[in-house]
Amino acid sequence: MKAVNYLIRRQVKNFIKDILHHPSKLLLYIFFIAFLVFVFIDTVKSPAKQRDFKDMRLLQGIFLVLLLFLGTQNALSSLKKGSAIFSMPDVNFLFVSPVSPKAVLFYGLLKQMAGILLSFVFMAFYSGTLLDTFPITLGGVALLIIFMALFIFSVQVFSLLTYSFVHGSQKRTAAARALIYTALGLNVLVFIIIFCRNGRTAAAIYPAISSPYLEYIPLAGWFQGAVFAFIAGQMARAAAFTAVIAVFLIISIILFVKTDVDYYEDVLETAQVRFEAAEAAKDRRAYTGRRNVNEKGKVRTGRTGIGKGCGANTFFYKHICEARRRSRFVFADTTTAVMLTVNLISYFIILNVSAGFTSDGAMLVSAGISIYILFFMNGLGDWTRELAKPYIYLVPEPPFKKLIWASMTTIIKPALDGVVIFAVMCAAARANPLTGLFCALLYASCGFLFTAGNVLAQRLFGSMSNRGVIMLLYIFMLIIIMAPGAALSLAVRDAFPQLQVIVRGLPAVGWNVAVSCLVFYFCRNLLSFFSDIS
Amino acid sequence: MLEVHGLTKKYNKLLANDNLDFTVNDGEIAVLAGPNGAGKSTAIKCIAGLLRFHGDILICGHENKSVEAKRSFGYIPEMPAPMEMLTVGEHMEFIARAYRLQDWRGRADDLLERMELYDKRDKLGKELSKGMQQKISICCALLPQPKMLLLDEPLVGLDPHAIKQLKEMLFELRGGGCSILESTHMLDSVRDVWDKALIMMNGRIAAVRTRDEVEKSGESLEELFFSITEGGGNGAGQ
Repeated sequence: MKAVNYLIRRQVKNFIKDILHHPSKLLLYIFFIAFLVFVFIDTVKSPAKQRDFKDMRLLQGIFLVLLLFLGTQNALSSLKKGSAIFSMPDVNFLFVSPVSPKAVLFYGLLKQMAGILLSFVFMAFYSGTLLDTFPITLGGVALLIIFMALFIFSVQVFSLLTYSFVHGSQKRTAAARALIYTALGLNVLVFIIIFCRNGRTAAAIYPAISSPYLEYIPLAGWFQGAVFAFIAGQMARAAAFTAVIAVFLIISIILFVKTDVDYYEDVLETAQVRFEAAEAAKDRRAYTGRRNVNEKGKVRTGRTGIGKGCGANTFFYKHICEARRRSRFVFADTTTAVMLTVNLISYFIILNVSAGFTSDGAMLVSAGISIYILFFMNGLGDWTRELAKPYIYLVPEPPFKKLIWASMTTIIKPALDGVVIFAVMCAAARANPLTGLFCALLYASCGFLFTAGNVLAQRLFGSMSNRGVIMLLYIFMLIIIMAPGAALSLAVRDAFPQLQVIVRGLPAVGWNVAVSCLVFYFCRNLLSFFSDIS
Repeated sequence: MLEVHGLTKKYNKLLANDNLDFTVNDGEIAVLAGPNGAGKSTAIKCIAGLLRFHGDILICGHENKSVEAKRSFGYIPEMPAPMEMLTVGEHMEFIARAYRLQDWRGRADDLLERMELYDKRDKLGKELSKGMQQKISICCALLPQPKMLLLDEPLVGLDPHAIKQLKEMLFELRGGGCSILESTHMLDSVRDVWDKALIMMNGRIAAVRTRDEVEKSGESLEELFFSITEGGGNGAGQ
């Protein structure tokens, strides 16, 4: 135990020292803490706003959906590869040392808990929106964040136990998977029953998403019950749920330790996978190392051969070939389906929950939401993946041509997605087709701009090692680039309010396209040096 | 032919390569040897045009980052990174198209055969083991028939058959006039193939010896290597 204590103390100390020795990291943490302090002071000092808050039950529903999504994803992934509690250095140094496996487990759990809590601190950025939208205090927001982190931790602990039980048996794995889906299905079932009982109207959503029955379904329901009981000041109820969670956690840990003292093998694969993936990420390589056996069979190779291309445009045809493997419809893939679903759901929520929205207005807001999501997804495009391979730098073609062709599919995809998403949305909402066209154009132009922003960020910050700082600077940079176009459109809207949405919005679309072209031109030599982006 | 003049590479305060000067002639296999952290991989990456540096690097008379130079050299990286969603055969097609190669299919098949990848040509990059990933890297680098070849620790992860094949290929390339620069810290692996040894230490070239010089002096490559790396790094001169 002494060794574990020493390890924890040293790691905390070195973590702090590392921050102090790296000005960029220090700056990021100072900025982050300053932001939190600002939010806190702003909340404390602001007079209570007399405004129409959204129904708290809506937040309850959103919280539960988030828990279910994160929990199911985490549990299913842990079932495949084991829990992600230990890292490779733990395996190499602790597992082989004469430290008791129980002490090692205690250390792993503690580290995991701290890691999850830290990773959820970013949720504090949404605290302002939560405070403005719902009748909730800053303490309530903190509770939401802490309980969400605790939930993920609990899922991982439970996964540790489940994995040790099912490991190596396909039947048991299938049963455990069925159990996870059953918990999810129970939530959906309760929601549907209560929604139908209350008349299947928009108003019926509220009692359905905040039903006390949902709170009895492990594990997400217990957490939702606990946190919202705390927020509502129902301390006895909160304590009851917290006690249930604590007992569940303690039993899981005891069972795990009792049944699987030799648990090292169960966590080894994930530790190795995570280590290799992290190493690959450090080197800006795509992770191609060990894969789960089940994952291998998932890709349909189908027709082989790139078929077209010569010189720089080979990258484009290669990306098409790869896209064909990912989806039989090439550009229309899971992302398209997810974005369409997000749009439809957000459209109907906006229309039903917020008064005063026309179908066109609701569609515009949902387009805004999908652009926000696109911002995060754009970084996963073919263009970014290509940078991780040496070929883009080695192929004997002019760098500008390579840059254009390598990013072509990343630019085309949101354009085609936009057409599909907003054509379906237009039909579903019976909205003005011109508004739909504008949403598609805006979505496509933002996709182009985000890709250009990515190119510019590679040019400007590519050699910086701190990804957090890069992300922050990238967001600021994009805001600056987008601002003139948005301002122009707003000015046109104010000057000519009678104009169609599409006409008012065209300056923003035009600006996005023009500035993206300029960025590409100014970064034309980006691919001359790997070091510019590594 | 590879000419390196005054190659200097700094990572912030760390001087990874300090004013390197060397030449690899046509039909010559040069070995860049040195302990871990000597700056071998950095030098190779600078020559491959992947890193910024100070100095001049000429490949077949062209500045190393020019399209002409890129057309002339092949690079086998230390860490293979195949394209996960392309099959082995498509890797060959990709290179052929990107490098605008003609009549490449027979050569590609031959390379795949020799690396025992021919029967795996419909396997995706993501399905390959570490060793196979390295083999596909080798095939990709050799398909354009480079006049200059850069190899960064190429034997890591290869099976004995592939090692034998790679050595044979290097001899064939040398016979065809290709200049080859291979970085390694495993001297045993290059015992049979080297013509010139460039021994690096602390970012500098501490010694340059040809095979003839070493054989005539009676000194072995290992002895030379250890006298430099364990003896301060400046004893041998150039």
